[in-house]
Amino acid sequence: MLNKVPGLKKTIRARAKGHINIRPTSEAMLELVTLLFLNSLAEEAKTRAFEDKSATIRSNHIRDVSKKLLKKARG
Amino acid sequence: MDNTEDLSARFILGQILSTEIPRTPMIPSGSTQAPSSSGTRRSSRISGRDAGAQTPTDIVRHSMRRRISQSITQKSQPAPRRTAPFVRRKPRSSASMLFDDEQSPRILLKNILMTENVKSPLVHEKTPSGEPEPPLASSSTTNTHHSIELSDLDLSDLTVGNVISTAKGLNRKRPRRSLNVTAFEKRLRGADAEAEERSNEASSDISSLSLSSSTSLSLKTPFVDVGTERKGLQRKVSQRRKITEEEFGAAVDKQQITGGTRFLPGKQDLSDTTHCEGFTLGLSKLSEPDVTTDILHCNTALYPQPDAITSDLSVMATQDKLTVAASQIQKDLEEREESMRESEEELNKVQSQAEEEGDVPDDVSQRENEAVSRSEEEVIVSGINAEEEEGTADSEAQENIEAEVVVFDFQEEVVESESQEEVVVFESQEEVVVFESQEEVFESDSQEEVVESESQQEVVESESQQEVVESESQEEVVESESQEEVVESESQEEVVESESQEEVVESESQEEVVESESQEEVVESESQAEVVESESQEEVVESESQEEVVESESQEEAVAASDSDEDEDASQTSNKESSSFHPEPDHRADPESVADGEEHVDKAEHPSEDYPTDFKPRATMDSSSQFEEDGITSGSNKDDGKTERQRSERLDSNLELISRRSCQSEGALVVPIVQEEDLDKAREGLSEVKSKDLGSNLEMEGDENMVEPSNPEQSDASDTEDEEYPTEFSPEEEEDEEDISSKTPAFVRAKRNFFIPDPSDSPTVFKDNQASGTTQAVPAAKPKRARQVKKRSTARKALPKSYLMTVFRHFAKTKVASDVYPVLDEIMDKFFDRLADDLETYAAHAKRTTIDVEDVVLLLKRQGYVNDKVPVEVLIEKYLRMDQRRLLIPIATSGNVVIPKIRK
Repeated sequence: MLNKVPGLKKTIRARAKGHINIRPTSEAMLELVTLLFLNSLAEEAKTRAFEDKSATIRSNHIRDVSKKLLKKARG
Repeated sequence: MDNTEDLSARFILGQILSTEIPRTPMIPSGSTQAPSSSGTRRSSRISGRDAGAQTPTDIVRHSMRRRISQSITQKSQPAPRRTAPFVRRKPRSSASMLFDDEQSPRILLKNILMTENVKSPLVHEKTPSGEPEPPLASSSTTNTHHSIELSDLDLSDLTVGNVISTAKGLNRKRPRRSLNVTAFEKRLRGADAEAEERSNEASSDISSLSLSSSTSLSLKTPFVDVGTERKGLQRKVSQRRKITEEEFGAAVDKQQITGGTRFLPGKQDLSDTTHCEGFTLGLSKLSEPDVTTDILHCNTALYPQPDAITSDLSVMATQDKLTVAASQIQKDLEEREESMRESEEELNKVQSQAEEEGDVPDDVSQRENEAVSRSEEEVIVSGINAEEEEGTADSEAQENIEAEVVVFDFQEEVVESESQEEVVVFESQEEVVVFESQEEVFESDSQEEVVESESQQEVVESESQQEVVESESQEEVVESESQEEVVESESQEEVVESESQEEVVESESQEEVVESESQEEVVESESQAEVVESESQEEVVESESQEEVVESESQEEAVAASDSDEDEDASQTSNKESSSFHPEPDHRADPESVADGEEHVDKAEHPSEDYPTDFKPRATMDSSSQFEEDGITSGSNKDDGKTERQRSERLDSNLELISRRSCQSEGALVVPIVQEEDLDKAREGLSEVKSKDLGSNLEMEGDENMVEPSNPEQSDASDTEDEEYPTEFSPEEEEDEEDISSKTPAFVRAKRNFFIPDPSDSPTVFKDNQASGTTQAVPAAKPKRARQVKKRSTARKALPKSYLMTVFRHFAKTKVASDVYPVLDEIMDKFFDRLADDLETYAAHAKRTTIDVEDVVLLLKRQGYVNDKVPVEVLIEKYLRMDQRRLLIPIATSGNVVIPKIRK
């Protein structure tokens, strides 16, 4: 959070199908969106790890959580 | 029944009243008036209450009603206090009815009690009979004021009297406390004093009763103040006693006034409590209050996060098994992949080591492994490469060449695949710097280059070149050829490292070039020309013409191939070679070209592609290719002991050089220039590393020395285009075979300057070749660039690892294994895809081409992060940095002046 998301604008523009511009303000909002997503992802993964009685988050925890979260983040 | 007809209404009523229990709601709180059935009542009191309560309750009601009426009229009869609890319990069902009375039974009773002076519980000497009336009467009359302790109004102690009065044996419930008779009597007297007004008789009776009963009597409530008379109405549940059936019956009998009021509260309480409990239970089961609130608020957005999370958790929990299985499977796959990769890496490492040692077999095996490993990893290329690579593995020299050649056909694919891991990077034509690990590069180069270089033949050439290198004469030639490719890199000295040749840019290391043939660099774009060259090379290999000849031819071919702009050096060398060896190559080119063609056709698709384009320069190309091949063959002949790797490298480098030359166009020159530069650097770096190899390549060095002089010559000619190469090179080539290797560096150097158009020096023939080569090079460069671009885009990650992991760890607040990064990456990839898609849709919906803040806000709303409870600003404040916040939210400055930022 204290750092910028490097190359976020570029990635979004790259992945957009057509030509699109991005305002600096919306750029900040994009960062917000990604941060929120990461936050919820981390939270869910943490819970999932707890269920597995593991204090460390591992890749399988995240993978289990990801699908649901991605669906939720579809908007 | 018979009488029914004759019966008058009155009679019937009387009968009914007497016999049957009228079901009238007016019955006061079911003060059990059914003494007759009291016994039954009592016995079945509980059951009677619920099931057959009607009958007994009705009876009671009826009796009570009569009693009331009687009491009201008479006002003399004591109003026996019915045990309120019992009464209460009995007609529970009727409790509600009682309230329907005009007056609440409680009030009614109160009145009665107030009016009645004498209210003493009868001391039943006999068990209450089932007859309602007699026991009632008796109870009423016999009720003593023993229950002085109980207030007159206290119906709850209805059965106190009964208890006391009833036979002790019948008294099931005995107070646990031992009673101090004297104290009790005193109290009683005290109470009597208070109650004197009401009942003097009672006092006496009480006293007597108390005395009499003090010993025998076990009072449940020894301390009952008269002052609690009022309290009697207060429904003290604490004082309530459990009543036996006998008690009840007695109480009912005694009671003249229905004390139904008492019944209700207790029952009510119970019912209420039960109801309350049930209600609360139901409420507590509510798990999603948010849902209701959302519904209330007509908030149809997605559920707020906590709910979702909880639901997610539940779902996740349910999914655990499935996901676990899936994850396990994924893990397995990943593990396999990783293992494969690891094996590949290991192989590469081994290969690199082997290269150092110059163990040919190792290289080959390694190559094979590399190839195999690569193939595994890369679907497209892998399949192809595998075949090819495997093929190469089988045959050390030629086979490898061929395989490589085949591989060349799939340059693009290979490029991508190669770029992927390990040494393969080297191949990435663009990444000249691959020289990171010369050794690895060397091997990979041979293969990768093959792949990349479109000219399969180059591979052959490279190999052949390597062979040539082995042989002094050959070496020079080969080196020169390789140098040509390497020309890009002018590190002639590094030729030994030849691996760097791929980067070739450094022609100096022509000798090395031969080895390194960093075919990897192969200038890549050389496809067409290279193909031709490779073909020629192959032929050369096959023909195994004299080393010198081969070399010369290859050189010439190289020169010819240098038409491509990419490899100045290569082109220079090739041109030089071609020009110098014009006579020779011509001689050889034919057979070689034929051979090349044959070989070429078999191998790769590229050759077919290259043919039309390379048509014109083919002559020269062939020569150059032949040269390479010859060099290779010669090299092979000479240096069997030499590391095959070197050969392969040379071949590769040669091939690459040729390919570069052929394919590179002016436009593509830019790329090769860069590559050359990189190659140079890499070469230099490699040269150091390769110094180790030099030891093994000492033999070659001798030959390479030959190249060196040629290189300087080439360098001289560096200023000139490829066209210069032939002129410069020819004299060199004309020199001893050994000089060839030395020439290459110069040639390579010269080639570097190829980019500078200088048609003056080039012979007409070469010019033509160049022209054709350039034209061919241009299209070759374009696909090369496209390939490069594509490579970048596919391999590009959305977020750098450091940032992603730090943020994730920060949010996770628990330990995070580092192996989560790939998974995280994938997820973020998909996330960004969806994000961009959604935002674009929103903007398009608003007929805009710019993503605006409101678009993102809408997205947040739809995702559920923002709702009525959580406005956007809160999130902004929470997550964003100050500079971003300032962008989004107008803030008040210190001067209390709001200066909203002008949003563009």
